[in-house]
Amino acid sequence: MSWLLDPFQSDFSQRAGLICIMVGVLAPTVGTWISLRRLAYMGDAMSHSVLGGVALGFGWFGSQAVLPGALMAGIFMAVVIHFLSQNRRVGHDSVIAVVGSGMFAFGVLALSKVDTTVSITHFLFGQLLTVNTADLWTTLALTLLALGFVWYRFDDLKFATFDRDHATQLGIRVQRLDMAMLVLLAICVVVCLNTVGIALTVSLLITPTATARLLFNNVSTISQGAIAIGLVEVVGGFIVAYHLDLAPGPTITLGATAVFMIVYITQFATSDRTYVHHTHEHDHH
Amino acid sequence: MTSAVLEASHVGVTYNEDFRALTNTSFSVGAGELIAVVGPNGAGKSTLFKALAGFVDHDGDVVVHGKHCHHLERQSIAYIPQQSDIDLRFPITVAEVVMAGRRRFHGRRMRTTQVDITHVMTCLSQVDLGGMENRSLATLSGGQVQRVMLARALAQEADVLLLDEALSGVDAQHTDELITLFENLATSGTSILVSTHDLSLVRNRFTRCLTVNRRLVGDGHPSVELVDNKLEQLFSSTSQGTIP
Repeated sequence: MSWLLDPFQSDFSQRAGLICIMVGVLAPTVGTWISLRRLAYMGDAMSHSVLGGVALGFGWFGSQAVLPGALMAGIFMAVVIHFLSQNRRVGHDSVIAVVGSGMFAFGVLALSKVDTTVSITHFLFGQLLTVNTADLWTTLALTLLALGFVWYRFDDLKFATFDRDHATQLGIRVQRLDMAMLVLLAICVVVCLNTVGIALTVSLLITPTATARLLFNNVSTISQGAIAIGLVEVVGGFIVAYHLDLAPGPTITLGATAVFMIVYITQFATSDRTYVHHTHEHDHH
Repeated sequence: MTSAVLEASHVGVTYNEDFRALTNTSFSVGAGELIAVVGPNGAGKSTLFKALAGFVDHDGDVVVHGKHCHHLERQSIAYIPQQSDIDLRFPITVAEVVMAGRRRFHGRRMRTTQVDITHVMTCLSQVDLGGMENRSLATLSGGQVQRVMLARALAQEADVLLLDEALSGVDAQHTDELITLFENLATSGTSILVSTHDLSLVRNRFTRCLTVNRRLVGDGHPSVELVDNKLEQLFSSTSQGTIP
């Protein structure tokens, strides 16, 4: 037991532990919908694009403005991509690539010009042990906001993701929901910033959900399973990193990937489920 | 034929501001009519259905039960999409899909009642999917998915069903059973439009046929509309659809 509790003895490590719990719940909750809507690339691009907001926030207002700056950058990216995607001549993934890479490049340049004692590595791979109380409260507020939204609009998200036309007919404003999902993604990226950093955020969004999809067949159970898996992976990764003196972000990510691979291989070896390939137009019983 | 349930008046659809997918299409549908919609690929059959159901912006008017309807007020029209329009890998059960049709009677915070559950089970039985309510949609064949979507439309208790190539991928036995189901629904007053490429099916089982190729080309009995010279004209008149 002491092996599990040792990493949480000091104030800063307790704050880090609380951040881990919040991230472990939030990232898979949002990640379930990011994965089902095939927005993993968007998640990756957005996590990189917030660097500009981080740099500007840090440069103008100091370290306490890092998370708000990142959030503003994420929401800005979401709005820009939402509107640029209205033009069907340019593919959605192309728009993401153009805007995401541009904002990341701006972030790198801006950070090089900002007088900061914090290296870019801090933002790229996270720095859990430097989390302060303000970060904790910001993360808690954003986490509750995002969880509340997903809980309240769960059915709408389900119907709009499965069949947009029917959802529209049911009175669900699918475009507003698309926009809300991008804002949620921005919130999630910001919350993950301290934990695993810009470069590895997408792993927390996608990997627990991908693992849960191997185990469950229903969106509700996938979401719940992803949260359970994500919590264990984030907190477990933090504990392992403490004992092995490793960087927490990459340790958490590597652990999540290992869990996915183990479940995948186990499923592959033992599965007798047969999925029908819908491209084959035949009926069977 | 009784009074018109659905009237399309000069309906036209333009995509991306320069692609005219459908032009000036007018017709009316009476209660209990079973109508086939025929045309080549890209003729605008799906576009016509989506305009009627309110999924795409369109010119002209769509009148349901004598009322001009905003596109968000057409829940009495149920659209069964082509399989390519839905995410077939989405982790959802058969019962959840069909229950979505009941949301029309509830609103956002839907609390499922025993009446809803009973209705869903009845609809699944009607399409010969009784006992499959807990199956994941991803484990079904193409034909079974089509029947699930039809069950959702039945659960919606719609007055008009628009079936977009809903018989594609359905085997001969179930096609026959579904057509019989359509005929029974039509007898009870539901109006049904089915787009299909199966001309012999249309000739044998339908009494009215709309031929479409970016506009309404013909409207009448299949024995009149599906004769060789008219079919040749229908399938060869592929206008480009671009606004000059």
